[in-house]
Parts: sequence; structure tokens; C-alpha cells
Amino acid sequence: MIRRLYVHNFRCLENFDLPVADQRSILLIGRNGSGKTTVALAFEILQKIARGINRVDDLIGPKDLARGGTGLPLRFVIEVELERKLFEYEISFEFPSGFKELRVREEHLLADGKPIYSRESAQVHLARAGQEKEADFRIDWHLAALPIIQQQSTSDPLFVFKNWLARTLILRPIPALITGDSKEETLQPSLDVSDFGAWFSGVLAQAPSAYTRIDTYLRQVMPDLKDIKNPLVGKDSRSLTVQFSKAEASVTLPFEDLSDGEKCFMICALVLAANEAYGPLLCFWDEPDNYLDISEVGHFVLALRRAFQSGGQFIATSHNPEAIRRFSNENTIVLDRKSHLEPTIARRLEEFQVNGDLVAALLRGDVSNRECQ
Amino acid sequence: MGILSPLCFAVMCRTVSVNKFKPHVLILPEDDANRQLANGFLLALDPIVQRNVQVLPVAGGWIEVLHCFKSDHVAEYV
Repeated sequence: MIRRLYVHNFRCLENFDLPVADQRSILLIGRNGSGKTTVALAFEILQKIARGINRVDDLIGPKDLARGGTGLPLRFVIEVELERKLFEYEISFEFPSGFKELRVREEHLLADGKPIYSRESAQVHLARAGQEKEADFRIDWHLAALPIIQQQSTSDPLFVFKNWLARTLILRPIPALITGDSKEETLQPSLDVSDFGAWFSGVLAQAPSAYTRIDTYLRQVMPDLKDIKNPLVGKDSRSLTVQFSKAEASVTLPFEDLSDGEKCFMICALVLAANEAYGPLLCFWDEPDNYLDISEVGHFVLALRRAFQSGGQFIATSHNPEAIRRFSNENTIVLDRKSHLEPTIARRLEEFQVNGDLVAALLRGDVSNRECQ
Repeated sequence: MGILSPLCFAVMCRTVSVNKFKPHVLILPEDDANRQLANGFLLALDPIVQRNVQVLPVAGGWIEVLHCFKSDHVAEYV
């Protein structure tokens, strides 16, 4: 579970703390341009580092500095509790004059306050771990160190943290891009979930029993579902098909022929199954209510919230009244900024004086940091 | 309860939220605090049971609950 996300000098996030500690599910609301998706981008940069993208230029650029750059470092800090250990990963970047791209200024990973490694500019210091002695080495200052440090085993704290961060689910699905075709397996789906077929294969390869979880959820939302198949259609490729039946009649559809909303049900089923199969996971879903009919939104959000109650963490953003109503004041965070020249401020909804219906208050523009008590 | 229209039937076959032709519960919260209580209640329910419960928008006071109950819900089943 995330204890803290701190971001400084990244786009509209300046000295920004996301108050997510102790909440299994969190909703981010706020006007357009208030910074909800930028929070997802911050998670995405950390996720990319853990997934092995370590070239700074592939992670961030000078345009990502707040207000075009003020000479201040750009910093990301994430604190997360995993396997009863508190991990803290911090990386900061700077953009010295005369440089064409940013470089790493500082980076470290701590487990329960003890350093696993630390780094200043190009100098990396590996702390003593098990039988391994301390070590120092130099690294290109345009590379993040986390992906290149070798873990000793799957119980190594470095592996535990890196594996968790790499497997975080940051989702902004584009159903039209999801065909159900795959050539490989993965547990690390892309942002738009265009590799749904590979993720489906990966989850079932990791835990075949996950199919039961997928099937149970999907039968609740699509009672005529019979089964999902993922047959070989070439030497190394598979293609998902979905069979529906009613009485004695049945129809088999290629996955890509499902509606956008039905594809979102499939993604939801896979999120629930993945959290059980290889979780606990962090799932950040940017507007999960997109593509769903209004009577389904509440059930959809509650299914996700319930699944993460016993492990993992679910963060959603939304503008949809039905999705907003399915969260409570203590786990709804309002993001707001006064103008494009000012930073985003995050406050829990319970800090606001909201009279009457929340959605009506949002419509009136009454929920704003400008009016915060 | 009237005869199912083809459109209604098609909707029921594809995706099912609350099915008004089967036992179900509609929660009409009096105010925002009651809406949040309903959320907590739903999170504790079995997922299959929960799908037979739908929380409606906040009515805005007990008088409004009564009015909405009579005009929108009782009338439909009489």
C-alpha cells in the first residue's frame, strides 16, 4: 500500500503530496486541467523506470519542468509498504544550463530506513546486502540506476520493490485498439491496454485458477457468457474469442467485435484476477466509467473497490456523477489549481464544507480549494 | 408489471444491472451522509447480491424522499 507520493516541479505538481495513506480505494476529482492525469503520469514515470526504461530522455524532458524550468530539481518520491517493509524510492533530476536533456541528480532506495543503494550524479553506492560487500561504481548520469542493479534473489528487497512497481497497473484503455490478438505473454499491460490478449495469456500462465475469477465477474455483468478461448491462430500468435449462449443457441465473437463497454468489463475482470493472482497491486484507472452505461457505472466502481479492500490499492479519476457517488468523503481527493500559472493543490473532500448533494455542489462549482475552510 | 418490450428484453440479455423484473432493492438516500452509508453497506455485500441493489441520487430531505417514492416508485407498481 502506498504511504506517500511526493512530486516536485513536474508540470503542474509543485511540492505536491497525494494524501493516499490508509485508503484502499481513492477517487481523484477536479476540473479539467486540475492535474488528475498528471498524477497518473507521475506514477507512469516511476513504473517505466521499474520496467527497465532508464534513459532519462525516454522518461521526462525539459518541457516537463514546472513552468518551463526554474532551476529547481524535479523530484519523485514514493513510499510503499510491501511484505511488512516500508520502501522509499526517490529520484530527482536537474537541467543544468548548456544541457540538451535532463540528468539524474540524486537517487536512492531504502527498505525500513536502511539504504539498498544511493546515488549522487554519476556516483552509485551499493549498501552491504547478505554476503555481498559494499560497492561503488559510476554510471552515466543520463541513466536511472534502479533497473540496472542486479537483485540477488526473489526475496531480495530490491526485487520485491522493483517487481511491485513494474507490475503497477496504470490504465487508460482505448477499446478500439484492443483486438485480443497476442504473440507473447505479459503481466505488465500498456497504458491503453492494446496488449489485452498478451495480458490475458500472462495472467492465466501465472495462475490458471484466475480464469474462475474472470468468469465469475463476467457472468455477473454478461449472464449469457459461456466461455473465453484464446486459440493459436498462427505459429506464435493467439486470438481471443468470446462465446455467448442462450437456451440452445450460441454465438462466438472475435474479441475485437465486442462493444467498447464489454471490453471494459473484460479489463475489469482481468484487474480483479490479476490482483488475486500476483498482487497486491496498485491500479490507477483514469476514468474507469468511460464507455459504460449509466446503470452499470456504480456496480463497476464498487466491484473494483471491493476487490482491493483485502489487498492492493485502487485509484480512479472521474467526472461521472455515478462514479463520484460510489466513493465517500474520506477517500475522495479534490485537485484544484487557480490558473495555469499556479500549482495543483490536493485536499480530501472531508476538508470541504459541502451542503446538500455532492454532485450538485460540483455542478455549482462549490467544491474548490478557493473556498476551502 | 407490464409485458416486456423487445428492447427491454435485449438489454436484459446482454448486460444486467438491477433487473426490475426480479427481486431488487433501490436505495433512495435522504442526504449525502446516507449516500455514504449506503456505499459502505454495498461494499460489505456479496457481489451477486450487490448487483440487485441500486443507489439512486440523493433526494434532498425526507419530504423529497416521500414525494419521490410516491411519484416515481409506488406509481410504477400500482
